[in-house]
Amino acid sequence: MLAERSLRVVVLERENEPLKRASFSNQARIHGGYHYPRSILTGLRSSVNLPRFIEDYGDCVVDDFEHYYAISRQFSNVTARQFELFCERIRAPLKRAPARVRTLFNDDLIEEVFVVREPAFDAAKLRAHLGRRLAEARVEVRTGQTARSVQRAGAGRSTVHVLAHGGETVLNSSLVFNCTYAAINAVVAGSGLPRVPLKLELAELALVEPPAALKRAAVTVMCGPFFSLMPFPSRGLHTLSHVRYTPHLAWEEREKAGPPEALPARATHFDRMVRDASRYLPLIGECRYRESLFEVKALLPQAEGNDARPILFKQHVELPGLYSVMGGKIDNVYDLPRELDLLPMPMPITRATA
Amino acid sequence: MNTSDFISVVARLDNQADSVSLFVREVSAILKERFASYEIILVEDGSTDGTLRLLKELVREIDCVRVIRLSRRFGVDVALTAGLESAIGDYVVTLDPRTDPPALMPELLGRALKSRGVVCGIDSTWRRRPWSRRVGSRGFHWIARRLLQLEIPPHATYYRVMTRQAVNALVRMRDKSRRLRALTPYIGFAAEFFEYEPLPAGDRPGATLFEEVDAAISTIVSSSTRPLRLVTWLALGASLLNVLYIGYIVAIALFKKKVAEGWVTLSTQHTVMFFLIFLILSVVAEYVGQILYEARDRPLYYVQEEFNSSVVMPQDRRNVVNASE
Repeated sequence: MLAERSLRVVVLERENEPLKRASFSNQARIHGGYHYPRSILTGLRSSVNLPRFIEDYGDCVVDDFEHYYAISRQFSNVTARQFELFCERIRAPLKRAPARVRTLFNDDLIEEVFVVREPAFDAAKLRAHLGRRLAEARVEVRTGQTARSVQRAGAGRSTVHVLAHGGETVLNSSLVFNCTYAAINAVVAGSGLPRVPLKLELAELALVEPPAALKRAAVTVMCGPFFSLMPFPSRGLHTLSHVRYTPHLAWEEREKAGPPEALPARATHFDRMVRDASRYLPLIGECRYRESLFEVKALLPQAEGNDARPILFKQHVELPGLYSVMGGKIDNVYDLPRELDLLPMPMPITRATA
Repeated sequence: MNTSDFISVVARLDNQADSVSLFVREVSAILKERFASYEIILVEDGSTDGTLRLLKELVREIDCVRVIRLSRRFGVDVALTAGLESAIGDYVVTLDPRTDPPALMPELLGRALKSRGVVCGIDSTWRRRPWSRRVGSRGFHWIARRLLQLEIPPHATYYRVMTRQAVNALVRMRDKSRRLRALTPYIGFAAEFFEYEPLPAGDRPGATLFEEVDAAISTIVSSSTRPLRLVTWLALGASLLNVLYIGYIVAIALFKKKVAEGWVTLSTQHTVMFFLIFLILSVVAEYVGQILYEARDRPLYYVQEEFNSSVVMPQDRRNVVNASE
């Protein structure tokens, strides 16, 4: 998007390839809005952005499975009727699941089962696709570079201090976008600025081999301490995550509060996930565990009440030109162009001086 | 002990700021020593003394604890049900933090694993309770057994171990009135009993006689419609008596010389009215019983297990005919 505005763009990536951290270790769900029945805005934006994503990244989209959303009778924040009305409002396609699927679920615990249109994406293909698009847009991607801090360097310019394998380097820039997700505050605090309030969790996704009956299916139980089984195309397995057991630890980062000293190694919670999940859908008990993906997940504190997932687009007034951007869902990107339009852009650089 | 079994421990907390920390630590230590996988579910039932605040600190220190906070005080049976409905263990222990010693858990779990059934605690101090309570208790259990056909174990406590099968059976009942100690006989699943001495409840007074009688009445009414059937019998009996009395009135009217004025008319009127009233009562009682029976949402039966033929015998019938016709 920035390159489209004729700016010269450099992307600094900490790992040896992009999309290896949180962009890889997630459920690979391309949201259709169904997941946020208590936040109309989040639901609506996802529902609107889904077709665009499919159009732009068609080769990364995997939809050769049936996706079922089941509403629980107990502990659920929404009823089946509320869910139906919500989907109608955000114009997300929804229909009741056929009886042969319904009987797979425990009727005492599940109120209703729906079929939705919510595909998954293949992270490996997405990585390749983005690599091509970035190259086409002449965006330079430098890997193995950890941005440490951003400092002012005169009117309208900032310097980015970077730590890489060879040692420290410095880059000059007029606009810096800090899109480091859970590590946002590492850069912000490193630059001597007050931390952005964030809630962070160490999250575990279990990678499993589903039983034959669930190989071409995804199941998400709403809306509370429940679980989700989704295909994970880049590994040919499924991920199992559970609202109660996926977060191993949680902590807050605020102005003066930083992350804990070190994150302890954690044993998997897979057995708990599967025990609870099999009360609702007994077939899940036949999933075979392979390994777990652990990653730090970032949430905005204001999302606590209604599970909303807005994008954070924060201008750091103490350091003009530095923006921290954080989005929790892959389709969030389509909400950005308008924000970029509102920014004071530096003069476009002509090819000669690039 | 098969350590791959997952153990859930469910306890209800009700204004126990002074003892919750000790209790949770003790339970946690016992479980950690013997089991690889477990969870401790604490149902916070409307405490007003800071128990909640303590729990929030406790979860930062002790692993595998889940706290379910109810929106208001609901009482022991409902609170334990909430915990049971949420437990994921293969074996679920319920206990009252005030009176049930956690140290007995390993032994009870051992028994439950062997018997694959329910292990139920009996209060061994019942003999020491006041005379009025013992008599009341005896009376209640006699009524329960004879009238309700329910074997409610006398002096049963909330200290139990249940298998996953038993817990699933219990939570499938959608009765609005949940008296766990009375519901457990309904689900069956052979129970084993163990006597133990509960810890002294401290300065909290036990239930008064009035409260216990009140609870007994509730249990009887919610467990069975047989009392209504008794009412029907009584009413029918009274109707019959009234019919006989009418016979008596007719006899007097016909054979006695000096009958007080108006006596026959008055008596007849009373008798007929009472006859009708009792008849109506018996019919109403029957239908009310039916309503209760139908409104209840309990499974009619539970299957404990199934097994099929596996006969080791040669199949020596051959599919051969000796002629073609």
